[in-house]
Amino acid sequence: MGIQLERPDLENTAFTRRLILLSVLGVFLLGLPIWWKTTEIHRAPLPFDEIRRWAGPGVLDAKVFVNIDLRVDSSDSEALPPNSPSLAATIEERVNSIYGSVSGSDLGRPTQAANQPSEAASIALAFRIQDHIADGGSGTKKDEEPGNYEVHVTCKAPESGEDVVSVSASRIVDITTTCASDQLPNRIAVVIAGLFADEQKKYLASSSKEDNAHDHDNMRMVKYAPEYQVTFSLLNGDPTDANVSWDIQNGIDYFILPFLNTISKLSNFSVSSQIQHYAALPIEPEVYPSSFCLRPHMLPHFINSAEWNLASTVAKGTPLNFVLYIPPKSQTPLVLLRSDGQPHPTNAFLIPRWGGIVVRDPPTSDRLSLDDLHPIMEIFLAQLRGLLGVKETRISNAGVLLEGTSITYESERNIGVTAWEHDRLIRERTVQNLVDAVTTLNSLGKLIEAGENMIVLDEIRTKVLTSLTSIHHCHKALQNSSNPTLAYSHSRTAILNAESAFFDPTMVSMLYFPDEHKYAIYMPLFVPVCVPVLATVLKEIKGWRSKRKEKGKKKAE
Amino acid sequence: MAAPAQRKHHPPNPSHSNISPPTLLPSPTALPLLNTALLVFLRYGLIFATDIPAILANRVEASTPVTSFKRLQEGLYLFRHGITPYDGSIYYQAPLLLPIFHFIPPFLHSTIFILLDIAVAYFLLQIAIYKSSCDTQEVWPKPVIVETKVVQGEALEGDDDVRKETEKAEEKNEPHVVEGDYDPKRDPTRPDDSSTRLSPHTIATLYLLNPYAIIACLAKSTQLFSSLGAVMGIYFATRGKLPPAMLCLAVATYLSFYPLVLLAPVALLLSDTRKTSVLNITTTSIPLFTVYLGGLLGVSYLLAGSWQFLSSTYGAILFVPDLTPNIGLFWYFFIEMFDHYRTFFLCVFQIFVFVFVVPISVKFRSHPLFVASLLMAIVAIFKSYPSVADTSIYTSLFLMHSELFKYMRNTYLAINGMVYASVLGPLFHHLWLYAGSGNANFFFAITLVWAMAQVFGILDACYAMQRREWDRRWPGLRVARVEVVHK
Repeated sequence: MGIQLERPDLENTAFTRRLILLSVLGVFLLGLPIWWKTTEIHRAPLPFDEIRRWAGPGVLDAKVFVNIDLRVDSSDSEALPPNSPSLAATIEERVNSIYGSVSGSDLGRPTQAANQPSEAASIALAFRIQDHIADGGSGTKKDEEPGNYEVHVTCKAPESGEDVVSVSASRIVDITTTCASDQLPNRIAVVIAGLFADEQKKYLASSSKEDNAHDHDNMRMVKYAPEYQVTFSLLNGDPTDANVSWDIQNGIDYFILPFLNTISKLSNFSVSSQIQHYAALPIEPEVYPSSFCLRPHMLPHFINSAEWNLASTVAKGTPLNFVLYIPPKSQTPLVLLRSDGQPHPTNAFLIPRWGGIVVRDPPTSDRLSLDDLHPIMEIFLAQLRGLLGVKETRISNAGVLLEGTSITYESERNIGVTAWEHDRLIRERTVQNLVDAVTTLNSLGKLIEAGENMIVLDEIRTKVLTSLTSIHHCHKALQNSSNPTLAYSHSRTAILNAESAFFDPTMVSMLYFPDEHKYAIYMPLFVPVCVPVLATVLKEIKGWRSKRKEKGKKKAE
Repeated sequence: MAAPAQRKHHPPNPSHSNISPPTLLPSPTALPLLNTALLVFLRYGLIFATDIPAILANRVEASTPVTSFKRLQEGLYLFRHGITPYDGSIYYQAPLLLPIFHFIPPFLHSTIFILLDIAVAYFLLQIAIYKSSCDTQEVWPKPVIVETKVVQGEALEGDDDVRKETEKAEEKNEPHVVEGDYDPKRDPTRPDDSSTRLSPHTIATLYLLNPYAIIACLAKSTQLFSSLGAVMGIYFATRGKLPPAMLCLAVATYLSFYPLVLLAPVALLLSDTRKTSVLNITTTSIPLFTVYLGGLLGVSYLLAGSWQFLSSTYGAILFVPDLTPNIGLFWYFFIEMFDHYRTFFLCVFQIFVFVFVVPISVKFRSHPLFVASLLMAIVAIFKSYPSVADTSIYTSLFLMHSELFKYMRNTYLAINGMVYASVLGPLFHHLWLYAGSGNANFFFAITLVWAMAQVFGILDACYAMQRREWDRRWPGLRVARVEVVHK
């Protein structure tokens, strides 16, 4: 009897081969949309034109307005020059002409700007000086606001001693001078112009990019941050010599906090303190007659960054460090030398953009009391001011222009910053932030346009748009309003959003991603997978062709 | 190739042909029971007399984030205190494991896992018995005497030429009709594999003796639950019981997702045992499987109170949030991956596991058990969180195909690679993470060796299966080869 044996039904036939091939190709097809979807580069549209517009010549030009109330207290009104009602206007014109800008509403470019490269924005101070003679001294309230100043002119007889200019800690200048003189408007103008000369110089420097690098103040100043972490560290060289502690809580409360509270509009500050023992210097002090010394060239190596753990791990703000270093007995007395070889009077130095250091020999008692800390904290405060860019108010060129005038400056002993300094800081930061935000956005725009593989998330777009709006508002506020705080808050939003967009990690991840990288990503897996599949496909096509040929031949036969 | 040739001089072992299909089930002897008892005793001994279980429980080779018993206990603690165990990233395992272990006192935990091991071994035994009964029914077509024209000289070595000619010859003679009483057992051209054959009891004992199985059991890897489900699913399929097979597969899939691939071989098995078409089986089994799986997920929802467990269990398996180094291929790759390409390569890696289901099922249609072994091996190599528990199951399934051993060419390489990786893996892991004298590349390289050794093994098995099928299906060539070799 005949038995039909099992025949291969599916296996080893061409049909099986094609089925397998089709199933694999099917998965490939299924994978194609996944590939397309998951590796697509999301680029949110950015307003490049607007970003570039801000960097265009003259767009960012602005005038930072300073309002000054002029009050002339005159014992005998006849002493005033005949054109006294327009005294304010005269002074305004003079001051503005000194500053290269004409009257307030005119948008003509300052004359200084003519020498500058055309792409640099020019920001200049402009003055609005009003006469308050008519008010009869009721304008006292106005000087509470930042950006509004008062000039009190007290007339005196020409023969009663020298002229007196006294700059108060609040926003008032008292000038005692001879009113009858023709020189009166000129004198007042020189005082006002002198007070703001440094600031104006700084704007010119910040808007023209080349000069920035040589500006020592700028190099010293920390970069703007919304939050700073201020750390006071007592580093004790050898606790076996003296187990030093300090009354830092009170020291901060008395000397540092009033200052920080006053400028808290600018940034938030968090303050911490610590004591570290066995803090060894990474440098060996030179032996100086009967003491040890550190020369200026050694100071950059003073910080032992390997062993001193100064940065707080929890803080998210930009760190500012203030170190009181107490050397071990074997290295005392430790003196810092100036470059001319003389001992430094304060025995302290400042490290630009980092913080300040004070060196003191081990104290006699183990605990540094508030009184002991007083001079040290004053140095720290001065260093902090320097780091934050607080400049003392001085009338520049006073010796030449105001010869024979005694000038006194009132300082704010409790707070550590006068209203003048505070205002100037706010204005400077506003301008700096504005310029920086525009620069940052421009760099970002250039980067995104250059890197076509770069991902631009929607949140980047939101940040850029917010930043642009804030730049616009800030610019407007600078032009129109005398209130610097409003402009400042806009400038702050602008710079923060611009920087956070620029430094967003999602942007950096694909910053440099040339096409060769793609081969490296796809090749290792897909080439080995694809080669056999493609080979089979080719084989199938060949087989199909030759079959057709055979069929054709048969038909022909 | 020499093996079939030898058969001409040495006639088949008479005893071999005496075995008749119904009596193939081995008579139960005391020996397998004794073996089992000894191996259970060995496990208990290691558990109670040594620290090995505690060490193994923390080893990456034995417990992964999705199977770790330690994490299960953490989840259990949260569960008992009324906190959702899926808050945080500790517990990635199925919700239904929680009530099971909630009611089992801790001193019974080891026993549970030993019982699981014994159950796995028992069902492997049953599957192996089915496999050997299949082998006896295997049809070896009688060699048709076709004068092949290629048999002279050098054409022998080129398989393709021989095959082409043979195919031509076969085409002329199909179908193979054999007159008279042809007994394939007495066919001298049929290869003799009695020397490499493993009895079902041996396979079960080898599973219990497998160091990987012992490690997984001692480490209390919850993968064992899923493995048992998969093995039981296959077992019920070999017995033609569709609903329990689907239930077991649903449980296995519910626990570790990847046993989903076993639907294909189980459907093939069921169509063989129930003698119906695959389509028929599919239309009944897929809905049933879906209902079972849906039921399990529904019960889990009631237990967990929200669908959060889905993202914590299957989400963890599919999206691989925990990149703790393990013996798989995912962790290193996704640590190094550009973030931008992570989603894409996750898709690629996960699709890669499932790509093989259709081709393998089609290619080895008449060997569903082999399909199951291959797919389980692929899952064990390419899944997101593999452990030695996966290896122990699929190696035992491969042992059932002992007739392939004589065709395999790379066993030395594959087995040595696995041994090499098993020894050096823990060493390099220690060097990297504890001694600090190595780096991640050491361990990654050894996981590559581990994967490659296994891939060599399964590729070799595929080759052997095809080679044997070739021998079986092309009897003319079989004869030709025998003749050629002895000319």
